[in-house]
Amino acid sequence: MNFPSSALRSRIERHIVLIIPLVASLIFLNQIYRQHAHDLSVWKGGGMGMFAALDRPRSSRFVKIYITDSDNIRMPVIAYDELTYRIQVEPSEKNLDRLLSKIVNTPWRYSHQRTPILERQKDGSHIVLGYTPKPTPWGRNELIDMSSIDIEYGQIYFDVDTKLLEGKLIKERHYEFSK
Amino acid sequence: MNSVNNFFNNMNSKLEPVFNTIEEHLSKWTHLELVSMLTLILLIFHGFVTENFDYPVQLFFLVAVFYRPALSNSFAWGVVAIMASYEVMNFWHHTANHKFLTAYWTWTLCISHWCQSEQHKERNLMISARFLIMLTMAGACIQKLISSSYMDGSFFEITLLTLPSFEFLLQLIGVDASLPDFTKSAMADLRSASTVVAQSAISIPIDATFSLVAMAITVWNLVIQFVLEILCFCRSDRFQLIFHWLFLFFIQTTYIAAPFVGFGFLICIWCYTISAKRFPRMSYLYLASLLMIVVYQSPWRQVLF
Repeated sequence: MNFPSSALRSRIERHIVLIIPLVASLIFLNQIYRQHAHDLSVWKGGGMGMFAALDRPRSSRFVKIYITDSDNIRMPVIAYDELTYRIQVEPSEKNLDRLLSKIVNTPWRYSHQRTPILERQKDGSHIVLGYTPKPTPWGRNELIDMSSIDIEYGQIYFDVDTKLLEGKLIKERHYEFSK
Repeated sequence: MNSVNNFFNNMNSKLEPVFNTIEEHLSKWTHLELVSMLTLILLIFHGFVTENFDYPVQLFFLVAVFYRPALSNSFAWGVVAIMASYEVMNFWHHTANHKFLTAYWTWTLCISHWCQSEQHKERNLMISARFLIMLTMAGACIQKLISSSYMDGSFFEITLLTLPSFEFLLQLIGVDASLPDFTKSAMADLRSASTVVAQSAISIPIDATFSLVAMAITVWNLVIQFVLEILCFCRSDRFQLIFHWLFLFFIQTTYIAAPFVGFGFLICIWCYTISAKRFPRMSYLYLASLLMIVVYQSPWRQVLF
């Protein structure tokens, strides 16, 4: 009576070895697909692509967010957010729309702090061009009367011939508040 | 050729007592037990994203130290594998590729311990270890070949300057000490929403020698991974020996220059797994490599430079 079940178990034991290669291959192929369809970073997603491309999410990809108020002051939003990081990993249209929706629906306020707007010089030093109010989602300060929101996603490229490091804008989102 | 043979024979006879001592100690473990213990050590030192994973693994390790049969418990490995998979899936945006491989490996151990037949246990372990080595090498080669920034050398030119792990290498090749900071600040300014950069472009003063070194590393990295992949396919003793010597060379040269310890540890375990029965003495070198990878993490570079 034991024979059929032990034979079955033996058969399972012989074939179960295929599971890991199958799952690992599917995840690898999914990474390759998403890399081409949604620009998923080579460094993430189980595609064995570490040290294969200059697209590390935190160092070579960027998401810039700006809020423009009713006085036409364009304020950069400097805050780390998981959703922002996810866009750096996989800048899909869906992720960008989610971030835009989150920012649009956040009641932004002026904080006590100000953001210095810098200009980089050729030698790597900076000069201060001016200061803008720093928007914050926290506190009880005055609410910002927002006129528009801009999100810019881009990537840093390096040209080996000219030795130029370039930040290229790849995707944008713009939202106008109706008055 | 004779002098090379003589050298190896001499070395072999001198190291005989060392090999015998290692053999004697390792004979107290079964192959699967030792691989399981090494994996558990890897999981303790280089686990996953959250601390939720650490406590059960530490507990498992302590139990296994005092009660070795626990190492062969497929249920315990199943729990570890489920937690590892949860960590990978839930935090995949943050998870490095070698953590995926670690999760696959924990499942391999779970399945191997679940098998009743010794033959199936061993077969499962060997096939999975060999497959994961081949997937890693093939995946790395494919990604490099289809990448827009690898083959032209731009990847290593910038990565060498911006990853702290390569500081030692930069000192070794005599790169201007201010260049890495200049490049990092250029990257930060291009990413910043509050910094204006003229034409969104910054010139990096890289000289021809550095570009040449970066290109040499680019080519070396691709070629060695490609050759390892090909050799892994060839199953004859001669090719397998070449594969192991080359892999050991790859491990030592890679991790002495840039200590990415978690992945190094994992590939040493896989290579130990596939070499232990066929080339026992070669497999000891992988165990020694595990120790060396840990030693490479010490601040010896800062002492030298």
